[in-house]
Amino acid sequence: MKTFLNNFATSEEGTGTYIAGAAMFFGSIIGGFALDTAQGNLVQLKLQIATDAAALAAAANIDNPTQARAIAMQTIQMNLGKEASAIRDSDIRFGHVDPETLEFVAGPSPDGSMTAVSVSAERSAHRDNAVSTLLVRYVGLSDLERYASTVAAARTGGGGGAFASCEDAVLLSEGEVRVGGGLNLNGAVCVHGAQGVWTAGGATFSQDVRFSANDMDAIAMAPYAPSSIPEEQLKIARYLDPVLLPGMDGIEDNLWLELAGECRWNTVREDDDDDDANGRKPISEILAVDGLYLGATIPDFVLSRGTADIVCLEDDVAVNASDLMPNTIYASLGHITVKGDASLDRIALVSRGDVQIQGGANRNFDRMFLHADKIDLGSKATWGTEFACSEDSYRVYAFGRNEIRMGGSSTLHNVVSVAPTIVPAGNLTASGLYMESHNDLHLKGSTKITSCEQALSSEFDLANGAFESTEATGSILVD
Amino acid sequence: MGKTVKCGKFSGNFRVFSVFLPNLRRWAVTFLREEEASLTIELVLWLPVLLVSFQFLADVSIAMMAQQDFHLVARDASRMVALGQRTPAQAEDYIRERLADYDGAKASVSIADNLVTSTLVVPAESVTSISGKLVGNDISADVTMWVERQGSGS
Repeated sequence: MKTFLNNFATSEEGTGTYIAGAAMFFGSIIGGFALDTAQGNLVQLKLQIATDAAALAAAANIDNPTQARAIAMQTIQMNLGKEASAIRDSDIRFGHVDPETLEFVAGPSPDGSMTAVSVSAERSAHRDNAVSTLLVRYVGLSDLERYASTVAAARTGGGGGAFASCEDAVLLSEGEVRVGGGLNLNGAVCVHGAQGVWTAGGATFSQDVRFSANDMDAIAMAPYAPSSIPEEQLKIARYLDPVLLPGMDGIEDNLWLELAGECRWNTVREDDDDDDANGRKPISEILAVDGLYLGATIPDFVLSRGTADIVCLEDDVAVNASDLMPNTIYASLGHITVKGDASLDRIALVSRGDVQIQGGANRNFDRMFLHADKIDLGSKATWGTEFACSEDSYRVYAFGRNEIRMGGSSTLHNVVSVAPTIVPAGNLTASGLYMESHNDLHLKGSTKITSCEQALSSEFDLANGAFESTEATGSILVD
Repeated sequence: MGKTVKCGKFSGNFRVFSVFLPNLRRWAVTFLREEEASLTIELVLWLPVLLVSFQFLADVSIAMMAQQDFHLVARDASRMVALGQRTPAQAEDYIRERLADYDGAKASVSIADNLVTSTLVVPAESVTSISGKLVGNDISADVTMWVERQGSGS
């Protein structure tokens, strides 16, 4: 034995194998730490996601705690599967967030309401569900303990400062709303940018103006007047959905179905005996009445005794405003360009292409319905009523499949405009304004909105009535 | 004088071998009997085993870290659908965009019982360097959330 040990100690054969074995052992230990740390972090992340999802789900249903708990457990089961034992029923607690410490407090608030949910998860030796290690167990660390917790609060339709309606104006974007300098908002005006709202300096706001976004931190306001109105009163974190934008396709389908019966574009006016030397039809023939509108999509103000004339236009057409007749719907497969200095009243322009309004100043377009791919409202025109606060209903509806542009120095009274992209002009004067856009909405400088202190009636359901909800309409992570 | 070697149809002068071959044989015998630097040779022989072992550990760690990223992507997608900011189809596009660096990544977002589940599957071989090819498994992540608002996604 002694000889063997002496030989073993002095022999140099196989030294490389020993070194390789040692390298592998220590390498495995180091690699094992990396591996088990990564595994521990993965488990931690799964627990955090599960508690987040459970707390958010419960907070969104907090009006019914039993149901909220059941939904939370369901999300836990779906997110953690076999590891769902990390969250027990008692780990879901209902309570409220202390407004001063911003800490979760179990149980109802002093006013008796429960507005927040806390969900915690635990994988520990204490619960006999600790995370087993793969390699570091060989150096004595067989288990890892992981914890996660989330507090979520219910989000209500109101919130922020004192509730204000949006009866004077709604500017709603699913993107961002940015307003230039010199903004002047009066009355119950709601400016909502789902992704954020930014106001520039030199602005003036009244008490009932509200700026809202999905996240309070996404509302950035430059100094404004009067400074006596606290910023907290003007800002609200809330979710507001567009109402007309999602239904645009339906409105368009209905509209063209109603018009298609009267407009047989492939057969109308085949007789070209009256064409001029250039082969162009005289305007009187182009604008001849083709049918009678009996549908329900065009607002009543365009109609006369429940109906209106339909003029079907096959090609691009440029007409003088003075040639367009009231109580008439001009439907075109191409573009419609309206020129001249005449005002228009009780007219619908429906186009598969674009509608462009050109001409000089001092024109008034009242009781108009516009539906086109792109709509250019021109500049220096007055849309809607000539004078602010003189009517109690919306007077112009503009639906753009893609875009609506408003030229500089436009005046908009009782106007609804809905399009994925709305490009308002600078120096805009408005009252009773309603906008829904999908993309960012940039209000140029010197926009002024006047308060009429009255809710306007609409031919279409609008979002300004849906803002009053104070029930839980969603949830937000608190901690 | 060297010999002329004939091999089938090919013939040529290989006198060079007659000079070096005995030396090479002698060098080989000496090399095999020599014990100097045997440690280096052993380590060189062990090196592939060590490298593969360490690479395997690194791969598994990388796969786990990638799976964390996948969970975060799935969480973001589910939350966007839950808030009505994107439709399931748009959320799938979002996931594919985030996983553009991984070949063969698949995404699915579905709503059932007012719960939205985002699932993404990435072939392990597109995440790891060698282990994925050996194992051939997929790395997946799925996150389920309560749908708070049905969105148009437009």
